[in-house]
Parts: sequence; C-alpha cells; structure tokens
Amino acid sequence: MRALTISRLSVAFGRTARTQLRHPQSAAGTLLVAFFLILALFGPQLAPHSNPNDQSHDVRVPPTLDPGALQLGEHPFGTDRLGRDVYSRVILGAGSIFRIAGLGTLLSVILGSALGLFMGYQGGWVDELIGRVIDALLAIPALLLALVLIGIIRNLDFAAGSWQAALADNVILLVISLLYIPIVARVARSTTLDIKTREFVEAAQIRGESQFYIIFREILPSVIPSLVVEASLRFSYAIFLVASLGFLGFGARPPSPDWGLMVNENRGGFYQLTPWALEFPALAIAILVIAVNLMSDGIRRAVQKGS
Amino acid sequence: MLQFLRRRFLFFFFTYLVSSLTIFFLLRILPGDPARVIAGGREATEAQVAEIREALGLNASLPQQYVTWAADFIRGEWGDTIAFRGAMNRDLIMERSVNSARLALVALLMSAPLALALGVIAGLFENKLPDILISLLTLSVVSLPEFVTGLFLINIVALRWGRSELAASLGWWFPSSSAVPANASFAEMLPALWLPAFAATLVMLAYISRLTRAGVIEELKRDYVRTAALKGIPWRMVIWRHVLRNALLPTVTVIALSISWLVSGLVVIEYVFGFPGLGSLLIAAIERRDLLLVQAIAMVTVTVILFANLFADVAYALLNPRVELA
Repeated sequence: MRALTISRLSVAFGRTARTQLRHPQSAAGTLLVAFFLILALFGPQLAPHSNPNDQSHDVRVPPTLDPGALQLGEHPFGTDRLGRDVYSRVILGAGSIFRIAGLGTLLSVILGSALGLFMGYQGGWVDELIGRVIDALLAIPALLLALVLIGIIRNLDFAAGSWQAALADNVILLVISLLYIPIVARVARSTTLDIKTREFVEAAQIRGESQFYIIFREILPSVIPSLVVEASLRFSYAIFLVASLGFLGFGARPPSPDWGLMVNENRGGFYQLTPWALEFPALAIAILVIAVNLMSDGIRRAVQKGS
Repeated sequence: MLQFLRRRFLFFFFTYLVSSLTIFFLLRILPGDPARVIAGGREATEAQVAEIREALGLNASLPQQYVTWAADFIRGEWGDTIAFRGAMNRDLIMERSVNSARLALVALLMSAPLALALGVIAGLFENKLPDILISLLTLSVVSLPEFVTGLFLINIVALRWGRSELAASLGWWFPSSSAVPANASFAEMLPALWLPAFAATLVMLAYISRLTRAGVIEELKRDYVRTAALKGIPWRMVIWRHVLRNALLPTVTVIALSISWLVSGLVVIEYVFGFPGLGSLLIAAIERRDLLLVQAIAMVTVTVILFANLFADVAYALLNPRVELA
C-alpha cells in the first residue's frame, strides 16, 4: 500500500513537472519560488552583512547596482536612512516570510485535512454542525479576524518564558493556520464525500478495518491531489497576508528585516529621501507573490489534468 | 422556492449568531483582562481597572454579558470611544462607513464592467492568446498586495504625474493627497476618491473576471449551444442571445460577493491612502486598544457582509428558478 502510494505520488510529481514545463509561465514561477527559497534558507551566508541591522556611516547611499555592467558594488540596493544595507536586508527578509507562510500553510493543511477527512467520513449531524459553523466563520473576512486577534494578543502581557509568551511570539503563524484550517477542512471534506462511496472503501469496511485505517490508508491517498492544490493556493494567500500584515504594522516588529515592514517604514516623507529603501522590498514582495501565484496555477492545472 | 428562502434565512441568523459569538468571545476567552488592556496595561492601577470593569459590566457572568452586549448592539448603543475622546462609537462608525461605502461604490462602478468584459473575452477565447494574456494580467499585476499597487499609484500617479503641467491643467481631478476631512461631502471627496478606488478595482478585477470566464466556458459546452449552432444561427447571435445571457446570470452573485472581498481589501487601501474610512478606523482602534470600538466595527462589517451574501443568494434564486440550496 505504501509502495503503491509512493509510486503514485512520484508519477503525479513527474506529470506536474511536465505540465509545468509545457506552460512557460508556471515554470518561470516555480523557478522564481525556488530562487526565493534558496534566499530564505541560505540568507545569512549570501547576504554581505549577515546582521540586518549593521549600520554604517554611509546613510542614504543610492543603489550601486549596475545591471548593464553586471556589477553589484558596495551597496547594490543602497542604504536606508540609518545606513543599513538594503540589499542584505531584502535577502535576510526572505527567511521570515517563508517560515511564517510555509509553516502556517503546513499546520493548517495537516489539521484542516484531518478535520475534513473526519467530517466527510463520519457524516451525519457531526458533519452538518461543524460544516455550518465553518460556513459561518468564513463569513468574517480573514484580514479582519487576523487584525483583531493579533491586536489583542500583542497587547496582553505575559511573563517572559511562559508558554503564553511563546504563543504570543508566534501569533501570526498561529493566526494564519487558524484562518485556513476551516477552508482546508471544507475541501478535504467534499473530496472525502466523493471518495467514500468507492468500492475500495466499501471493501475495507467489509474487511472490518478500523476507522483510523480507512480514513488514513484508504481515503487519504485519493484526497492528496486536491489537498496539494489547496495547499499551494493557501501558501500564495499566506504570503500575501504576511506581507500585508507586516505593512500594516501587525507583523514582524522593527528593526527586523521584514519586507512589508520595510515598505511601511520608508513610505511617506522618507520616500523622497530614500526611494530605493521602499522600492526594492516592494519589488521583492511583488515578484514573490506573482511567482507563487503562477506556480500554484500550474499545480492546479497539472492535478486537474491528471484526475 | 419558499423552502429555499426559509432555509436561507435560517442560515443567515445562525451565521449571525456564530460570528457575533466569535467577535464577543475573542475578547473574553483569551488569557488576560480586557479591562486592564483598556486601562493601559501594566501601568494602570487596580482602582482604574476595577472602575472600567464595573463600567463595562465585566462582573456579570459571560452569557449574561453576551446578551447585554448583543442587545446594546442591536439598539445602536455602541458606547463611547476611548481612542477618540469625546465621540460616540456609533457616530464615528457611521461617518466612516459612509466614506467607505462611497469608496466601494466608485470601485464597483469601475471594476464590474471592466471585469465582465475581460472575463467574457477570456472565456470566449479559452486557452488562446487573448485568454492567456488576460490570465497573465489577472495572475500578475492584479494579484499584487493592495499596498504595493496602492503605493505605486501614489508615488507614480499622484506624486510624479500630479506635479506635471498636464495635471495642473486638469486641475482638481488630480489629487495632491487623498487625505480629506472625514465629514467631506461626496463631491468634495471625489478627487481624493478615484485613486484608492482604482486600487480597489484592481483587487476585484481578478476575482470577478475569473469567475465570469469560468461561467462562459461552462455555458459554451452546453448542448443547446451546439444545437443552436447546428441550426445555422450565426455564431455571434448564439453568443449574445444564449451564452452571455446564461453565463452572466451568476455575476449578480459575484458582484454581491465581491462586497465581502472589498471589505478586507479596503482596510489596507484606506490605510495606504490615508483615506478616512472604516478600515483605517479599525486599525487606529486596534492600535489604541479601544476594544469596544473594535468589536463594534467588526460587528458592522460582518452585518454588511452577511446582508450582501443573503441578497446575492436570494437575487440569484429569483433570477434562476432552478436553484436549490446545496
């Protein structure tokens, strides 16, 4: 069973790769996401200043990047009003957005699909009740809920080192998973409803397999394709949300090199002085959001074609 | 039909109940004392905290507090703000809601026709060049976070072009800033309105046009389209008379649904442009720890969204008698 699942998944992966290649825009998106992932993983090694808050006396230096001559210069993206190297800060900022959006997506997909599989397989009033509550919760806009939750939790003070303080430090991660659990659950549920009437599930039931076995070994493999599509979609929304929250001042706190925060810190009057300190992080956000969108569109197309 | 309406209204009240419970308990269930947060955190004295706890009725049991709070909300007694001294929450919210509604209206008037046109063109040319170009456009430029497009519009359109001679000859249409007094009239506000409205348009464009495209593609595959084409009816006529009429039916729903999309998108756009709407009020309220104001804004927002969704479903059911509640 496991060997079969792995071989089925590797076939699906090969098909995804091939479909991606046939649509150049999806392939380009995937490559760009991979590029940003490398930045996120090896940022401290790649950035000229591994400490994002290294200050030099050269404040407000314009970008030394020369694309024509392929030269980076000392401060490729210039320095901000405090003399910090914007190039290093942009590279180091990739880490936090990938960590929060990636872990948030992962957490919501795991918990949401477990909930959805259970709801779909169980059926009956349990399913009806949870389903209606999920529908009702989804009526509240995600950003509103995120802002309110983060705003409240941040204002509570906890003893340093307690579990509540650890929770408050990771509040964005938790809020993202909380927001997306119901959405993932809904997708997993509707696919499960479709799968559970198939013969192989009935066969397992007649064999007398446990409910746990049927849900995770029989149904889950068939639900995975739609979960992959949903996960890639959730990831693109999570990137978007993390960037927006950072910009609104509800994400990472200064002086961390968060892209959204950097954009917010350098707008208004500072934009006239150091436009590059706003433009490069904004460009990074723009490219990453588009790349993730193109990639998830490609994944969706590949999976739909395969089924 | 009657049964559909009954079930839909029942669901409306259930949703309202769940979301109001969520909004209420979010502020109660979390560890920490809301009275202390309002009083100013750790620096507040015990007496101040106790006074606020008394004033807010926090000494009553939780279900009792919820009922009091919900009844107060329905009666329109939303309390006084802490963040904006001297004002009542209701007046503040009403004034800002009107501004946000103006912004949303202008954005809808701009985006709906454009998005429908793009969606129909993309649907008619499925997987051909126009479709690919439109989907690239909706996946890229339009899918950027609101604050990126917003800042781009401010810096390029308002600051760079706004100082050119062309802009000077156009006069007041070119806003130098979108910061307007919150109680300005619609005409006074219009110059400051169209740039943030354009940013909101871009947000909705992708959403509406993709749904329209899907509707057109689905409709083109129907048997009656083939029958009409085989009967020798000119293709142009088939499209206009049959396909579009059926494919555009769901867009009533889409436009009403985009109101709930608009609500969250507007928060960021209002903040970027410094526009005095409900979204920027929400952020200010959260930053200043005005929990009662936050609750009231959240309730107003949810109310608008739930009514928009209800309207969408009922309108769709009236237009399409085959509908059944899924």
